Amino acid sequence: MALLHQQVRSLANILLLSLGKVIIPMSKTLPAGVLVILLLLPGAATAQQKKERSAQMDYGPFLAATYINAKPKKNKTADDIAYRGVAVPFDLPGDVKAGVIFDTEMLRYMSVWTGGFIKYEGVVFDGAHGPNPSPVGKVQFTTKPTPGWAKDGNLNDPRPKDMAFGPLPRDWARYKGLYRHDGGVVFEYTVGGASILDMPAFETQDGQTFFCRTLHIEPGKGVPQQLVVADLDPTSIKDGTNVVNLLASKGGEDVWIGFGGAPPKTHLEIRGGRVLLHIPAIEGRKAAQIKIGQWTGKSENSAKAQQAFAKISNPLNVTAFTKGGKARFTETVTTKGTRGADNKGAYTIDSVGIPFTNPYKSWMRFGGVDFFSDGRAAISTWSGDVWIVSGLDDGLENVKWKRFTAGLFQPLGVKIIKDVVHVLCRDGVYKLHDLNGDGEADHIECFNNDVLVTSNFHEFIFDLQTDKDGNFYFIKGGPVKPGGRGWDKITPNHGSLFKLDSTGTKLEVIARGFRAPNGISVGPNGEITTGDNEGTWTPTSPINWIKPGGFYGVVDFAQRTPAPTIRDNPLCWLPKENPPHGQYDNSSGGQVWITGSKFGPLSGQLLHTSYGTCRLFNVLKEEVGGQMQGGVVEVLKFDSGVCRARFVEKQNALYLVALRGWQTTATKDAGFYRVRYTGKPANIPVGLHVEPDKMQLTFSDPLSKKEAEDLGNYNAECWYYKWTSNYGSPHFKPSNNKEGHDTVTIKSATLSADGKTVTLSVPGLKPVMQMRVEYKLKMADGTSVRSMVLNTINVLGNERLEVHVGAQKVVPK
Amino acid sequence: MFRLRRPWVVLFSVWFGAAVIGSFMGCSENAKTDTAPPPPPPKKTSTQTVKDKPGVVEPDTTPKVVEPTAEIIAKFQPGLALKFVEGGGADAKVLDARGIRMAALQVPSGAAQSTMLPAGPFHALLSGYIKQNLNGECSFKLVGLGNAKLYINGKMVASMTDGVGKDSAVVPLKQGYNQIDVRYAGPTQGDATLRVYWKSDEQNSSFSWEPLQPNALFARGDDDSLIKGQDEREGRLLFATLNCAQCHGLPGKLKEDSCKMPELKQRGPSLENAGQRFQQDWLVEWIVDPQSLRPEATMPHVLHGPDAQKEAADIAAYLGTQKEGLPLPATKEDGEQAERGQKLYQTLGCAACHHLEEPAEDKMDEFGRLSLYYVNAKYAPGALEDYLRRPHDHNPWSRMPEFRLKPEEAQELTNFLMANAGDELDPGKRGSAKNGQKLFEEKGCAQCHSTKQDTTQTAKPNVAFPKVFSKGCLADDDKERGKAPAFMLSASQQRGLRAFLATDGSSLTREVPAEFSHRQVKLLQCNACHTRDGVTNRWFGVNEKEGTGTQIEYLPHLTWVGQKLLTERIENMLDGVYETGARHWLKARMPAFPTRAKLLALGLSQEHGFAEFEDPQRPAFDSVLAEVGKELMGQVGGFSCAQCHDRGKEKAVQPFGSDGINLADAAQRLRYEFYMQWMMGTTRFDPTTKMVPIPITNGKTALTEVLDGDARRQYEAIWHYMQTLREMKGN
Repeated sequence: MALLHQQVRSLANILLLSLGKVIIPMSKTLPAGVLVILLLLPGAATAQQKKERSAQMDYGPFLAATYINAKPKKNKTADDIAYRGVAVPFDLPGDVKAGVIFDTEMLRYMSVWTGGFIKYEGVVFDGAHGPNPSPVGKVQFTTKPTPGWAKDGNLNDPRPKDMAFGPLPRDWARYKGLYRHDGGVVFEYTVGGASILDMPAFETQDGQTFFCRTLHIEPGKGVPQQLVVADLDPTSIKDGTNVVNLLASKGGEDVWIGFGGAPPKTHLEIRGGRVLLHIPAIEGRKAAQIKIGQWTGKSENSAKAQQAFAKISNPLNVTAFTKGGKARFTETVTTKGTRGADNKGAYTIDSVGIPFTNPYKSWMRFGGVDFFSDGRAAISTWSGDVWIVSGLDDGLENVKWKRFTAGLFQPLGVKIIKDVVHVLCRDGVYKLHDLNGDGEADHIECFNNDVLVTSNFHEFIFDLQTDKDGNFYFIKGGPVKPGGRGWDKITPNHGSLFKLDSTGTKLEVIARGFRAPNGISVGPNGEITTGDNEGTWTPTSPINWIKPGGFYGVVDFAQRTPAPTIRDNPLCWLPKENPPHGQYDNSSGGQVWITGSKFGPLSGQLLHTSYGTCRLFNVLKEEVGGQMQGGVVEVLKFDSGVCRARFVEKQNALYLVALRGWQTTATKDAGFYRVRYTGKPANIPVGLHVEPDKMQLTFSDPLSKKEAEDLGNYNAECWYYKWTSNYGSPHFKPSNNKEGHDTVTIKSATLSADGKTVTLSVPGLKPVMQMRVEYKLKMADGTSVRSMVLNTINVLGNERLEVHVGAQKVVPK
Repeated sequence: MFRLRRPWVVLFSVWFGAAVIGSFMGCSENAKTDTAPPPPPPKKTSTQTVKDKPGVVEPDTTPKVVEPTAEIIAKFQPGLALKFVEGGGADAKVLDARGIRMAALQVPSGAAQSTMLPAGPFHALLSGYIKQNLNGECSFKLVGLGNAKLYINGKMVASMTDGVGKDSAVVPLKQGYNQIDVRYAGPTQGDATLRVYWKSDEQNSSFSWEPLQPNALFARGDDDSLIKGQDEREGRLLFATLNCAQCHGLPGKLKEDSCKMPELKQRGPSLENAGQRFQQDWLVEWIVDPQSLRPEATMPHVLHGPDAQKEAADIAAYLGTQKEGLPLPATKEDGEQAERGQKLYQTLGCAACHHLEEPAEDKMDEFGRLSLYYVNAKYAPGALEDYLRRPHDHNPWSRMPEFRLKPEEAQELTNFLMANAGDELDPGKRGSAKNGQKLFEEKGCAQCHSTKQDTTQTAKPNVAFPKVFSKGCLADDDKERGKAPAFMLSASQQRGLRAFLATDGSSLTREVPAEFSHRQVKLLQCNACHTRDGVTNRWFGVNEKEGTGTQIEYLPHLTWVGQKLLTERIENMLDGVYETGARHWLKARMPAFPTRAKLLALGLSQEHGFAEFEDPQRPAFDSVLAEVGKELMGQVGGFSCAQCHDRGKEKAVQPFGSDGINLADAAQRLRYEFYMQWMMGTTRFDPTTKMVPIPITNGKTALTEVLDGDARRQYEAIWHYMQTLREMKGN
């Protein structure tokens, strides 16, 4: 289908290049059909299931990801990567697929191809650790991974050679987002002072397919611009000058490039294999519209192409394509939820029905959630969607799911501000606008894309929170190598906690050293917490209470010389192995604050989620000597990897979303839960206080004195972890540094007059990385409770704990 | 709920070989397979008789409860006490006692229940304490054959009558030590089998039926009968390993061919080709004072007096003539090889058993390791390389395991040792070979060591056992010892030998595999590499102290191996003939101990109360369930097992953080009961496992749509699927 149906007029300044060699790096790529057959063979069942599932999904008109132009050979990195690419699919006449990848960092078309779309490879698509998606089909044009537009005539990559990551400087160029229209997308960016709209399309004339790119350039500061149209094999160019009628002599392939509708003095130039378009300063008030047409084909079709080229339409007014497209995901899905029992405990879990089966074959794995002022939710999926969920009423009988957008780059954080959905994606923070009120996002506005992106599969970026001043916070993990140990190329953004100002212009790192922190929280008074995950330089999962400038574990991400040998203490550590009770938290999720006062004993508390063991913990905390410390106690268990939570004060309900994306005990791909307070006794610890020779545990409800004062009902142990570059750490006894736990002797247990606080006398208590207090008690109403508190003592009396490489040290305060 | 389908039957599956997987043979009467003929019942050699009715537990046998004092606790030893008693009552006379790891017992029909007692129907008492960290509640049950009663803190809670168990109600257990007593009467026919299981349904602390955890069990180390039994056993072992019988003959009128104790066959290393293998100066020093080169050496001082040094030189010279043309590799110094050798030394875990420092005078290093300081002094380089490759060639009973080293690996290790061990000894005077040959005979060397020339068996001196222990080998001082060899025995070893010599020695005619494995696991230092019963492997501590900062690999825990693996698989592994390659990432490798493989494997199974071919509950193959199992292993609608686990040639999707084992062989390797226990409570059986446990609530997993969400049914389905994976193994 030709996209442009305007009057036909010949294009001026047609350039035809002859190619001595085929310049198609993808020429060996298998056609999609062959690929599918191969994958159906036995031997790849589960990766295959995932791949098929990803390939079947309807991603809509664009799909953001890190793309490689060609599959790298073994042990080599791809030489052309768009760390932030947006692939746009096209349907050509004769049921032919085609696609382009626009690089939003370099503002160039990395690749233009026909005969397929992309290979769904990579962690989000088929679970593979390492590869990234790449074009499938016959590549027509590519550009090198350098700026797509020149600054002051310079086309060299301004970024350091060994750290060529991140967008171009703002004064050079800046990506502003994309608009969705009925036939595709329009990219928006600035170059120098000029605002540019850039619309990719394919146009077929007389059986010849042209890639056509229409530029709309608003008048700006009048510097002449150069843009890279294509990079060709220099040896294929017979004559390096700007000439017409340069044809292939025989065989091989030919390339035609031309443009139309341009202001005077616009011209093409070939410089060492690069095809550049020179655009003069746009004078006056009128925007310029330029259309560039590109053709690659067999030499025998060259003449046909030349004739067809003449028929290509004039440039259209691209601004007409930025008003919003027709709704595309028109079918909503209605689900039914299940309400939790109201008579069993203080907190009950309602499960919102999830449209695992949906018309778009969208893979439901949730990565972020927030709520509109009217109570509707926006939920992002790891595969790139945002869904709007309405009907979250008491019964959950009639919950409606409407797909708001698709194609985002692994969005794992959602924040709604003034009813505008903000999403955190691997490639930046985006605002989603529905321009025509049809319930779908038409404008994916780039709010900030300063965060550095590499091709590593594991450098997930998590969560999106704001403080009361409107600043945003999110966190990025490290480039874990496939297999889980060690790192790929490290940038200064790896393992960093970010603050982004409310206007989206200033991005700063406020703490460093995180490995894979799947979630953060920002409290009512700006308190910031993060989780993290066991691995290299992370002996076990911590809950970090962030101090600006703090360093939280991974030495390789410290960006300090000399490298730190002490790490800032977390609020507490959580053991992965908790013998003999099984795993406690092998993979932390995010945290959430319960605001208001109507949520029973959890009101005002900080809660923490375990993605790996699908649990919700209450965080018991206190500040001692300027240092936060405390521990956790389990409150609820879920059937999927909970990691994002929002407390909705208006509904007095805690919502959590979950996914199964990487290792977890979860057996469901996604979960959407609502935790309600029933008013029944919670029977959980809500306070932990430690002082020399003493621990106090405060419960939500009164305890039976007899059991509470029986020492046989308590068991306390302590141990420490070795903070090293090893993956995780065994447990060590502080008493002799051997593997295992030390028993902490409790001399007496006394219950307070109100029956809620147990004071344990623990002579000789010392600061320690990990302590575990198990208890088996009876509440005053006769209910039995058996559970445990896992805590950390950072400061105690005149002593405090320091976590050094390979050892914990107790030093004077 | 977890229940034995037919707990009164010992189920022998004949799945192995080409037979049908998972089919069973019926009751105990016909439960023997052709491949495992029962050993013939030995003739009674003792006058001891079982006074009470065989096979019946006395009705009124409430044990006396002893609250352990601090003094008693200080003397606790791990595991339980197993006492064989005359009659089953509380005041029964103890005939013999030994320590056991598990609350379990397995005696094949007709076989001896104790090395110290004649085989026959018996009454046994398992006693000790279960340690609890917190007040709690558990249920118990007895599984096996015969009759038994289980008492917790003096109260009978569960019983078994003719193999049919009556499970306990919920039993309160207090924080600290809870006394456990099991009174057991073996069946009059069939194997004596007993296993004690427990489970807990407590909130946040529940676990499914499983054998009592060995690290929760403690026995009174101050129990007289236990001390006596242990002393006798230590003496028995020393009697065998020190080759006492070579000079003194066997006690009583025992015939050598009636002796079943394997270690009795053990001799000192063969000295064939000694002249090619050992350096003269080292031989001299070794003969004079073995303990000066190796504090833990068992070789006695045989030369006394002022001529010792000269005589030693003569014997060494004689041994130097032992050169029959052993083809030795031409090992050359090579720095690069030494570097590779160092890596090998680390990855194979050599440092777990050896160090390279000069040995201290009379003690081992803090880890109890053997010094390799004198290897250069001892061996010619080629001989060292040859020894590393074939450590059992000259000494089949050497503790040094066979690592299946490739020739280049042996070269590399040799080079590393040459470069890092001590130097050769200073050369001393050479002796007379002729004189040495004479001395070799005279001093009794030939009683323990063979040489090529030693074609005619030297007549045994047949020195009578001393009536008093103050003279001869066991004398405390040199004067009283006279010319007898000095064995440098510790006080406890002396006590042991004396205790053994006070018996009629008939124990040498019996062997109990579970006793054999008990002593061999200690001797072979399995704990050097494998964590067992809560004791972390020694390598870990060594690495902490001497390593480069990288963690050592987690090797499989040994705690449960006797129950986990089918006996045949343990045997094959110990024999070095079977490599699963299931843990493909391991750089360390399981070495072989071929001399001990069979009996050790059987003993390990018996320690857990399992007979050689016993695999209770193993289900017959079900192809429909196997299909379900396949789905359950997958990621869509499954537990994502395939994320980490290879399944034969089919690779894991993406292992992360740690690899999973290849499951191709799992259903052929594991006992089904252990498999199910593992799935229900992974970390209870290996707290360091990287396997992410599947959460279970009220017996159901989150996959409620498959097999009603029933965890056990789902795991059974996975088991069936695993059975189909065997032919996929390969590469």
